Amino acid sequence: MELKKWQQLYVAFFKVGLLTIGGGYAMLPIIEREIVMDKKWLTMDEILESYSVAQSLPGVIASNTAVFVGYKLAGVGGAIACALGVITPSILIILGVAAVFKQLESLEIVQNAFKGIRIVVLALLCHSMVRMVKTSIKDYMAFLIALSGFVFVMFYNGSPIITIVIAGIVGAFVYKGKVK
Amino acid sequence: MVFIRFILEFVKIGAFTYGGGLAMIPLLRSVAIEHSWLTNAEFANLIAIAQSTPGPIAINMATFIGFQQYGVMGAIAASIAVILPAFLMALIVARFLNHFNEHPIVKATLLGLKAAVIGLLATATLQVALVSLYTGQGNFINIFNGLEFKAVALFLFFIVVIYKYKKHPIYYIILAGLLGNIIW
Repeated sequence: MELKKWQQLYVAFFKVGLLTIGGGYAMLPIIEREIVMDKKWLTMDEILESYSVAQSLPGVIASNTAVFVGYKLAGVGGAIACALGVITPSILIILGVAAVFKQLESLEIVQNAFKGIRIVVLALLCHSMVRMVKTSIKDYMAFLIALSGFVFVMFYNGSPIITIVIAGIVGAFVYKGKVK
Repeated sequence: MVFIRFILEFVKIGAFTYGGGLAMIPLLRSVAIEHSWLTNAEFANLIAIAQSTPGPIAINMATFIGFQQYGVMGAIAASIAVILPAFLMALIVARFLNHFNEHPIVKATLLGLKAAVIGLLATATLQVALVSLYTGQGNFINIFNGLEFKAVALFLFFIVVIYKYKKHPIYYIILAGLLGNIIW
């Protein structure tokens, strides 16, 4: 039995969601295998273009990319199929993990494991921060925006959403003439 | 009504997350703490769970909190809510705005947003430091008060190891779980 296009898209992005651990960049090779090499629906260049547009929108990059690919291939229905496909494995797996975690959370062995794990999360966050500073803080103005956002939220209990809105507006004014 | 407000929080988070999974951490954290969905320590645990299970980090975190608050329905609703604003915007962009991301105003706005996200992530990182390096809850007034030597040593060990080997986070998370049981 031949699956309809939106069903095929749902299955393809279900695999992408299932095989991507950690999100973001990790997803690209899997999309390449499913959409470009296996199905030959799009070229890798088209995928990369969708990915780069996806990064300039809010929300989850993986699902944004899925929406672009789905829309290109099968319109609004395709976009919905791809977006739901990419989040379904997460929902199923996390439901299982959350249910198990609730049972085991109070065990000493789990408590101690997470004592260590919280430390590695801290180290991973520090590592990501260094990487983000290298790619996104290229002048004094960017440093100033980052620092003001930090101080506002950390010490004045400011809202992260308000910080983001203000930073976007400031960015638009400051960098408008400087980007091509 | 409470359920609708719960969903709206995730729509809001989805609309203001720029830069993917990590960028969502500070937003989700502020909402989760404000509504007492999670403690600081539980939030740090959640980051690890979301990073080491399949699927986008942001979806995993939304699903987990949704399940914890409202069961299976909550999990499905939270994860759909968090992608909804971007879904609608992506459709509009795909339909009407070619080369959206090459527009100078869009590029300029994003430069500002990405810088701010770093500042926000720094606040979330410090909060994780308070619950991971201290016995009980640390504070920034007496930073050495309650600082746990073994935790700091493990932290420094991981900083070096992550920098040196650049493996997928899941390996470090497993190792940390084992070491946690050996050390404590």
